[in-house]
Amino acid sequence: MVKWTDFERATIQDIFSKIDYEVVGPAAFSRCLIVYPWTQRYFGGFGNLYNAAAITSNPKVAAHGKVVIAGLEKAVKNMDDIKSTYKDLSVLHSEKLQVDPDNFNLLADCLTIVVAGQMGAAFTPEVHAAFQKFLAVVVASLRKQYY
Amino acid sequence: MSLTAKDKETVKAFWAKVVPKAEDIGQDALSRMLVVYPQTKTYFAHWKDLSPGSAPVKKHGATVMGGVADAVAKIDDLTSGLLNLSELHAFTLRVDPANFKILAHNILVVFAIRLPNDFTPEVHVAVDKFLAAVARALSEKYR
Repeated sequence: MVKWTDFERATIQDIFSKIDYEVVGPAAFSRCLIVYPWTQRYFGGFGNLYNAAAITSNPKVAAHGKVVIAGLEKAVKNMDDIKSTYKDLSVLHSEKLQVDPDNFNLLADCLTIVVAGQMGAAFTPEVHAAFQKFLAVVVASLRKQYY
Repeated sequence: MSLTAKDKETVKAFWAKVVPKAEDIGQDALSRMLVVYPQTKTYFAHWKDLSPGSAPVKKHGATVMGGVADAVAKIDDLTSGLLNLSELHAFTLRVDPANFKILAHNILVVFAIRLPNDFTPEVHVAVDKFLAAVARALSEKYR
């Protein structure tokens, strides 16, 4: 079981209460598709992903960005048992979507960069560390059901 | 994943905006790395103070950014341009190259914080590629 300090717990709740989901989800997801273009392999049905401008203005990308961040919120609400909260999501990504789990780290990095941009100086090294730990637990939980 | 002409242009243009804040950015990135990825502290056990903003961290952050600035100037041939630095890292410092990626990520996070309007997704991909190319050049002499 993951142990969270009071600071980490409070920081994660604080970050997610402050960020605008409608902005952060789509921004992080589109950044991932732009910066790591091989991740586009999972989104063949999304239409025009030809260049950064197309990706940023693609409505399916924006919609999916919101789905991703809604999924993260589940972890925020269940910080003491992210592993079981994400059991079905892990099976989904492994069996149905067949996503290479190394991609989770790519999206996590983009999310960190977008949240850092939003929070500015408030994203101190200590806050950054808490966020990094949270994302590491999320990624590990999503990897758990792969075999 | 080598740098296209457009990548190089993008990196140079973005670097002009980094220059006035380079030391601050270097210090912040290094501080952050030591806090968020504590295993990196093992390379600095000889420093008295590893806390964010301490004197050794400030000084070394500036040194690192000086190295990156040098790389920008030598962007057309990083392998030969960074030969001495590669030898330093390979034979003297012996930093595991996996850490180059970690530091690069922290530099990108600080760019996002300090230059939010300039660090667009297009700039991000070019700079990420550039830092990866720098890491490759630094790894050149390892084995």
